[in-house]
Amino acid sequence: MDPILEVAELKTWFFAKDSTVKAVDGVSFSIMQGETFGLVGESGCGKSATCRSILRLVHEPGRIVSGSITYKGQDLVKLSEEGMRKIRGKEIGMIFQEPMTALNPVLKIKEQIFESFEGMRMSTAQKYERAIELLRIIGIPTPEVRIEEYAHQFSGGMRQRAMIAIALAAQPKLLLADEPTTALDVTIQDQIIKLINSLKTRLGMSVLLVTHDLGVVSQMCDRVAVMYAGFIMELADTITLFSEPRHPYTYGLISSLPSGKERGARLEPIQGAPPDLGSLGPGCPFAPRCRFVGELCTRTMPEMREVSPGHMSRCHYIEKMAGIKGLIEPEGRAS
Amino acid sequence: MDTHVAEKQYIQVEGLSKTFKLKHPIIDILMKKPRKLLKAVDDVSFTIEKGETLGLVGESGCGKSTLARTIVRLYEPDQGKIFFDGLDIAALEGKALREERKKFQMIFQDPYSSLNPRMSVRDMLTEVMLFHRICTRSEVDHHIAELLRTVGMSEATAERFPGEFSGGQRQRLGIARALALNPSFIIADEPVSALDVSIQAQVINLLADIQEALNLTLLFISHDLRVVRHVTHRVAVMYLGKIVEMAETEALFKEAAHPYTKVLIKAAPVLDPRNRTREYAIEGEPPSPINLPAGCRFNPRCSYAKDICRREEPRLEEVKPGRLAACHFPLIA
Repeated sequence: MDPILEVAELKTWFFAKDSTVKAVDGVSFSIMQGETFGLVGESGCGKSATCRSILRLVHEPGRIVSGSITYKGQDLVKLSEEGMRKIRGKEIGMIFQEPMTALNPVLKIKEQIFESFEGMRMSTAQKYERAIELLRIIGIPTPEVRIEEYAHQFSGGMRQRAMIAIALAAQPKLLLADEPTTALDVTIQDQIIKLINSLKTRLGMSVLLVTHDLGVVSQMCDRVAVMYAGFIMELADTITLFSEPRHPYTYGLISSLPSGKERGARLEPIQGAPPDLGSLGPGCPFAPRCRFVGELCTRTMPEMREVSPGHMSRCHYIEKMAGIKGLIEPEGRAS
Repeated sequence: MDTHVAEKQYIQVEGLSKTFKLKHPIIDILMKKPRKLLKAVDDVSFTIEKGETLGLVGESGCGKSTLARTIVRLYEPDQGKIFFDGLDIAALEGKALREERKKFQMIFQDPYSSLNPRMSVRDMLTEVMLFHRICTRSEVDHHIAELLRTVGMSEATAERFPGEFSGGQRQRLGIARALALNPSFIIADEPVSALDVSIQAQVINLLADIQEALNLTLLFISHDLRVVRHVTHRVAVMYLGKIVEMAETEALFKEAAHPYTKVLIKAAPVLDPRNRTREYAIEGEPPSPINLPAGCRFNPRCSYAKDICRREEPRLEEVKPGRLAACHFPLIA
């Protein structure tokens, strides 16, 4: 399969008064045609900044410092603002965590969907018909009524659906979804996860999912990259990542989860807290919290190494993790 | 006071209700329509034993936070009794209430908004302890050092301000503030929901340690079923202001008696990428708690609903030993 988007050595830094925060510091990955690719990590790891960099939505004092983002043969980093406008929404759509701040409060849902049709040769009647159809696909009941309403008249779940409808109106090839279910209740989250999954197949889209929730990753992603302090630490297909994690941070995330453990059994949290991105040392940023830490770790930054085909890990001591089990049994040995 | 009862049922909530009056729009007043009411908590009863953790789960708007706040008398209950160690605190006022309140404390989801940003940790803890006369001024520093040690923070943090701490540390401070009054009952309202997974695990472990060391009774409110399953002994499931099911935690997760519980469990994303389904756990969204449907309030969304469900509201009854469900046709019997 061909990649639809290739991110190479992307660096997005934020220039504060007295320090430079390297939010994204040399991130590389590609998203295949029809694939859901996940960026997972905790707050401040750079997953959202990576996602926003793709549409060049990084604002001052942040800047894409170097690297390339290749979409259909053109480098989005070097593209003119005019060129970007043709990409945003039309080729690459985006949905956000908090639909209320992403939707326009003074425009009817109808007008916001119509905006997405801009530049397409359609009559108002065609636009209306298409918009109603979209809302129906997205699962909004009585779309003829709801289309005349404003965002504040919608519930949280309905707003998220409306935002998806707006994002999909221009039929983008790639959908960037930044924590699309985080603010929602479980039953609504379940609906939105399954909605995006089915729309992806139906419309032949690719999806970049940004999330902190491994449960959402497991239900949506084909492949995942785990981010920490601006770096991708591990990259693998979802099943491999869940069954055979080969980076101490991924393993730490997994063993922090209260799942399948007996009541009262101790959780195994990662000790300490994430580092201050403005003052990272030369070594691996995870070293101070790592249970496998060795002498190399505080001195040099490890390179990405291949564990097995398609499975990469940024760790000096991958060998120490041999045989460590994740949340599920590895492929082929499942009961 | 019957001490036997007091020990067996440390916390006993009986028929607790809390209704909010909504704004009365001028049109409605002119049309002589009655003011609309929102029954946030509707005739809720449960008990918690000493040293036990009861989980309270449900989706936003189900009334779980209102229930918590009514129990600690941040809201005035409309009806019902709240027995705390045999004493009805719903009937207490003024000084007597203040005296009792020390014993039940709350931990909030967002510690930042519950900590005063202009007070150092030391000032904040000193204020609470002196106000409630937990100790004399000369003993305060000693107590603070001990409290901070209990929640896993160094004594040096006492001179710092809430803004200087990370989310996890702030939650530790929230816990320290609650513990400062030597409470025996703690209501934790989504205490780890705003935290990252790795930090969440630290705080869950801390709560477990403290509970054991101090023999605390806990009401643990969360929308995260994985956390609830890990932390609690028993669980109560709320839907639109009512408890619809209550059972031992493991039993509940193994087999739900109420269709809504089944939906909630099914909706939580499974941590196995090989285990994916297409169909929704449930269609639609919870209806507004202002116009509740007749009969069982879950009936319009329930795939098992029959005629009687649309007419008669089911009572929360024992369907099998240790298992209460408010359903005409419980899934287990």
